[in-house]
Formats: sequence, C-alpha cells, structure tokens
Amino acid sequence: MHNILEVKSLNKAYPEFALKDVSFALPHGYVMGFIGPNGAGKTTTIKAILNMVGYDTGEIFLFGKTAKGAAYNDLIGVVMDAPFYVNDWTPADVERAVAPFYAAWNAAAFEGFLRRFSISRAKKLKELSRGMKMKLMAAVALSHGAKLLILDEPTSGLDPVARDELCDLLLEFVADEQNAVLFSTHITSDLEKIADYITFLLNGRVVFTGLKEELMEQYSLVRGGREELNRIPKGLLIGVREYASGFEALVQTERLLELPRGIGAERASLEELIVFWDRGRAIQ
Amino acid sequence: MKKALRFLKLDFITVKPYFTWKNLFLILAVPVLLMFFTDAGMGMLFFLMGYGALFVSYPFAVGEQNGIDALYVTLNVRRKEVVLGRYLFALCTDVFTCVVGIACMFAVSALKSIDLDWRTVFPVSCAALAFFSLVQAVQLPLFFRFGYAKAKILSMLPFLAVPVFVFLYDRAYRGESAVRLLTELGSWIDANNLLALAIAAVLWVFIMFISYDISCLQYRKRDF
Repeated sequence: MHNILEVKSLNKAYPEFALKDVSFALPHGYVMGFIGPNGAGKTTTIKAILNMVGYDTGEIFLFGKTAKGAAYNDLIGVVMDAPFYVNDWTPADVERAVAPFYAAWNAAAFEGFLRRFSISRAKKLKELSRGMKMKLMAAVALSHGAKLLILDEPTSGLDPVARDELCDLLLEFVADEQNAVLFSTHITSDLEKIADYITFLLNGRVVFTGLKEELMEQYSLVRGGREELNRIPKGLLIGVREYASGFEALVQTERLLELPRGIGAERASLEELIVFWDRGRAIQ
Repeated sequence: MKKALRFLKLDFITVKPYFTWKNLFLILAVPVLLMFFTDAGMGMLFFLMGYGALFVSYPFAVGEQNGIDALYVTLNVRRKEVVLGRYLFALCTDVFTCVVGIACMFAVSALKSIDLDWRTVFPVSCAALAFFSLVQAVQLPLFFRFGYAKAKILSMLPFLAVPVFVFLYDRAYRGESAVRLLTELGSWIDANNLLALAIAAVLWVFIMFISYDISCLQYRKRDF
C-alpha cells in the first residue's frame, strides 16, 4: 500500500507550543480524520505539509517524494478554515486569479460546482455567507485535478445539510483510489461517517494514528457510582468526569476486566475520546 | 519567469476592485489641475508618480487583510517568484503613471500653449522613474519583512531621507549649500550625458538587485 502523504518525526518549536515527533501516514484511496482539541497542533502540521510554515526537524513525503523544496501543491486541493481570497473578488475573479497557475484547471468542473452549490459568479465574496465561501474553496480545490485534499476545519460554519453535502463530495473524491483526504475537524460526527483513518493530536504529540475502528475499539466509556470510583486502581481511568451521583471516564478496552463489577462500559464516540483525553492531560 | 509574470497578473487582479473610475479620476484630477493653474508640468509628473508609488503598497495591504500569502503557497508560486512578481508590479505601476503623467503634461501644455521640450521632459521623467523605483527598493524589503501594517510607517523613511540628507550635508559643509552641490552635479551631467546615464543605469540595476535579494531573504523566513 503506497502512502500519498507521510509525515515523519516532525518537530517545530514556538515559544509557547511545540510539535513533537509528529508522525503519520495516509494511504491512497482513504479519508484520514485529523483530530484533537484547539491548540493541539493540527493547523501547524497542515501548514508544514503545505510549506506555509517551516519546521525544525523531520521529513514530509508527498506522492512518495520529499516535500521540502519540491512543489506539489498543484496536486493538492486546500480548504482552510477561512478563505484566502480577496473579499472584493467575485467567484469569476477567483477563477481568473487561480486558473493560470494550475496546469489541469477544469473550467467546466468549476462551473459545475458553482451551479451545484448555487454560487453566483457575479456576487462579491464579502456578500457570501461563510458556508458559501467554504463551498467556493471546495469548488476550487476540486477543479484542478488534485490527488490529495487537505481540509482544515471546513465544516465549522456549515449547516448540517451543507456538511452532509461536503462529506458526499469527499466520498466521491476518494472513490478514485489514487486520491486521498486529510480532514481536520472538530465536528467528529462527520468523521465517524466518512473517515477510514484517524490521527489524534494532543498537545503537539500524536496519541493515536491508525484505523478509525481500531481507535474506537481500543477505548471504552465507563460509568459508575461514586463509591465504585474509589475502588478503581489509579491510572486506569483517562479523564474522569465526576458528578454528584457518579462518574464517567475513558478506559482502555483491554483493561475493562480490571474494573470492579457493576461498572457499565460502552463504545466511546470520537468526540468523547477527544474530551476525555484532553481532561486526562489537564489532570496530569 | 513565466510564473512571476502570472503572479504579476494576479497582483493586478488583487488590486483591480480598488482601481475604479472614481479613484482614477481623483488620482488624475489633482495633478492635472495643479499643472493647469501653475504651469508646473514636472511638479504634476512627480505628484502623479507619488500617487502611483502609494498604489504599489496596495497588494501588500489587500493581501494582508485577506491572508492572501497562503493562497500563493497553495498555487505553488515559489517565494522568490512572489518577490519578483511584486517588483515587476512596482515597475509597471511606475512606468504606467510616468507615461500617463507625460501624456497629461503634453495635453495640458497643448491646451495652454506652453512649449514643452522633449530634451527636458525625457531626463526629468527618467529621474522621476529612478527616484520612485529607488524609494520602492527600500520600501519593498520592509513590506516583505514586516507585512503592510507594521511596515507602513517605516516605508515613509525614504521620503524623509532626502531632507535629512540635505540638512546633514549643510551642517557638514557650512557655506557650501546642497543647492550648490546639485547645481554642480547638474552641470556635470549636462557635460557628460551618456556617461551619467550609464552610471545611473548600473547603479539602479545594482540597487534593485540588492533590494530584491534582501526581499527574498526576508520573505523566505515568513510563516503564513
């Protein structure tokens, strides 16, 4: 299985934050969810992949070749959390601006996406809603023959219908097995629907990278009363949330048997994984 | 080079929304009226090119407001191509405003029956072009280093440098005024036209090259 994107031991230090040995690989034909709480380093990693920020050590491989100094961005479709087009541009201006830089620009596909998303070519970007602007970025990202889509929080301003539409688009995109998607989002329900792989970043470190199902199977959500909490060995629970009547916490599924009887366990959602891991970090 | 030219076009698309007929009229009206009422053709040319020089910072201002540097990266434009494109944009703006200024100068002169001599207009236009492009040779590295908002005040420094230089010169050589130096320089240029032009051209290329290199160095360090 070939990787379309491979990040190896990426390190980047800022005065108050650092990416530490970030490594993960995304194979062709799959969607990878890139998750973690705010400030975990997702955007910095994405910007490093795109050469928007430099990095101290590590290596990034795109399409099997080193990304440093090489120019692969015409094979990458990018949708960031905020559009980087001039607010006074119209979608027609956007096309005029970007098309000359892409050898495989497909004007008909762009026109098709504008129609599909009901975006007027003549309306200025400042008159478009955030959701419309995101769709415009997606239209550009999908109209130049990109093989890899990198999305950084594209769905945060979208209503459920628009999010669903975007998820469908991504699934259509990876139907071609040569393509792949790296999708950073806080709306983990979208990832539960479409992601095959998950890379989970916490405080600048990768805490999990691999198949989504493996992650979901590795951890379980447990609930119990207050007196049961006192009987649980320390270090077993991750990010305990205590209530007046009981508690909730994450536990490694393989260690469920170490818990006292009477404690209920269930499959944790991606959102619960992020929340409890983050709480665990805060407690440590 | 091909990409730098594409980038130059992108810069024009970036500022196009602000290049309205109303703005164009305002930019042209003041200098033309100035010449109409004072007969100062050269003053009008410098006035118009001054407006043009302000316009050179527009792509930085608009770009910064919209985070457009990230777009250049996604478009696979290398940083040195961005810098080269921006220098070409500055040069094109200067040449365009200079040509428009000369055309206006001749138009107003014809209306007011003022005699204009090409032998005066040409060297003064070249001097104006050289002056504004050298000012930009100082400004552009500042914009690439700090971005528009932070470099805005600093970029006015080259305009301050001329009076400061005259003041310092006057203090250093009491009795010999800056005007006298300029007069002597003027007579030397009159006597050695071609040599002066060649020296000026070499100096201009050298300064622009150094400025471009510094800009590349500064822009390469920026994170978006």
